[in-house]
Amino acid sequence: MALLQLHTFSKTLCSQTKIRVILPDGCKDESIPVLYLLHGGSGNSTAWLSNSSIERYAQAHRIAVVMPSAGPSRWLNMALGPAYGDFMVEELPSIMRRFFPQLTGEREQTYIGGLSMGGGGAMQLAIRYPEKYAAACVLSTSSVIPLEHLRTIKGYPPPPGGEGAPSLPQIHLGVDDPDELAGTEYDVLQQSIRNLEEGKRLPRIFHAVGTDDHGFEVGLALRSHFLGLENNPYRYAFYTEQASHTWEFWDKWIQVFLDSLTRPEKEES
Amino acid sequence: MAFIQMEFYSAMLTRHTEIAVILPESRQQESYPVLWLLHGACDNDSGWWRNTAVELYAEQHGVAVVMPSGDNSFYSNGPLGRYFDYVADELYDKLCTMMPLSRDRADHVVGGLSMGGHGAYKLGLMRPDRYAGIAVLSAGNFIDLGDPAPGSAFADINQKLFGTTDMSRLVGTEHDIVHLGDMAAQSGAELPELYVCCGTEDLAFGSAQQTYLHMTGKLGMSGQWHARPGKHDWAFWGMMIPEVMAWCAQVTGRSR
Repeated sequence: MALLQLHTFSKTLCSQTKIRVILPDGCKDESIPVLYLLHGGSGNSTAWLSNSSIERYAQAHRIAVVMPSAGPSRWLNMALGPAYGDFMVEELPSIMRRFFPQLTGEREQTYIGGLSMGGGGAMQLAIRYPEKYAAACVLSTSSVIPLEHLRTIKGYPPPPGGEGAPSLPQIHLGVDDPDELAGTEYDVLQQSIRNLEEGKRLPRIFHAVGTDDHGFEVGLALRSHFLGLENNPYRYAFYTEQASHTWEFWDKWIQVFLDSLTRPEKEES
Repeated sequence: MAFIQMEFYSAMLTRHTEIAVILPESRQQESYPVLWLLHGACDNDSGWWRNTAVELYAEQHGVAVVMPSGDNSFYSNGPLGRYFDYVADELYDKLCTMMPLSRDRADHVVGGLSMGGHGAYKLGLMRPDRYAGIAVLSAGNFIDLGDPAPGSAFADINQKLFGTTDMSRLVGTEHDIVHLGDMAAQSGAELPELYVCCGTEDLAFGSAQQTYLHMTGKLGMSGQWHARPGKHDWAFWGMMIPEVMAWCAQVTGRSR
């Protein structure tokens, strides 16, 4: 087991950036599967390390875990900031393979997951770039266009620039209300159908959210959508229990997700 | 010598951020003078300690060094966070409480390279009550440098940060260092001492010199100007950091 902190320049972000990487032991020359694991709003690349036991789980599952930082973004190209979406899908995988050639370059062993805003990011990236990821682990997210009106808290956290500065949706997406982007490429539901129509290989979607989470209603709507698609083409699985928006929940369900990678037959929905 | 990397939640940035701090140990002090050392554009809190021997000279002079991460903010309050307030107040309060740092104005110098030099000017001139010294490497008034090339990364950054790529529109605003100098001089506050160095092959050389002359000539700031052969690169900043650190020790009254 090795825990690494990588400082490198990202051309896409036009900045130095920090990436935390867990490399499991005992992988020799074989290609190591990779989970890109995304932090939530106000987090950074240490969030998962500080608040969960991800390092231990990564070793047990012999999977590399790559934890980048997305600053104040939604893991997408920002209206008023850097292009984190392009960074995630285009630049980061090549950076990782350049420094750690043992990591897989195969879609079938490449996964993306995250909590809250990071869960939304994982979902968006997996649905928009289905050719990149074999599965997405979506935990407790309410960042799902066009379902954000179902959040049970109203509004968004205060603007990073202070009172009167552009709101978070403005910074992220250039709109006041993310659901205004319904029907665009940001619309996860529509994009998921477009992927089907275009005959793309689809990522498996693992989704867990607590019943007391402000994103629970969003989660139920997402579940109805994916389970409503004929033959469940995303092999979508939904899990819930009584829980709120906490690390105890994420620490538990990231383990279930990792288990599902090696025992996919145990999926339930 | 202690080298500390710290992560914490910043209310001014509304997210977790990272800093690096050098606390010298060779000379025991109850409270250390501090150099707030700012990175340039496209960099972060790791730039100075990865690319220079800043730790060695901090130890020699007994000056603590704080290296925050300013992203591509120009150390202004902007749409992605209140970076100015973060460095000037939030980080100051947090670190002066957590670590044995002096709270005397006389013990604080703000310095930086390129965009960080701009930030040093900005912090020092807008908060002359907080900083006794401003150390600028390879920077003048960046709006002198003209507009970024259309389609370049900086055109994108400037558009998102300032709402324009036309730098002439920033004249007379908080992004105009000469304007900030004029405001500070008019306020009657005691102005910080100034140290400016620039490589003679640096594209910012003319602006650096002109801005320095404005501050010391027209506004009467006490200062030092050092032109040296060099470019806009780490070789130059690595060469200059021992002098900058010695100057910090002198300004804060801690030189041997």
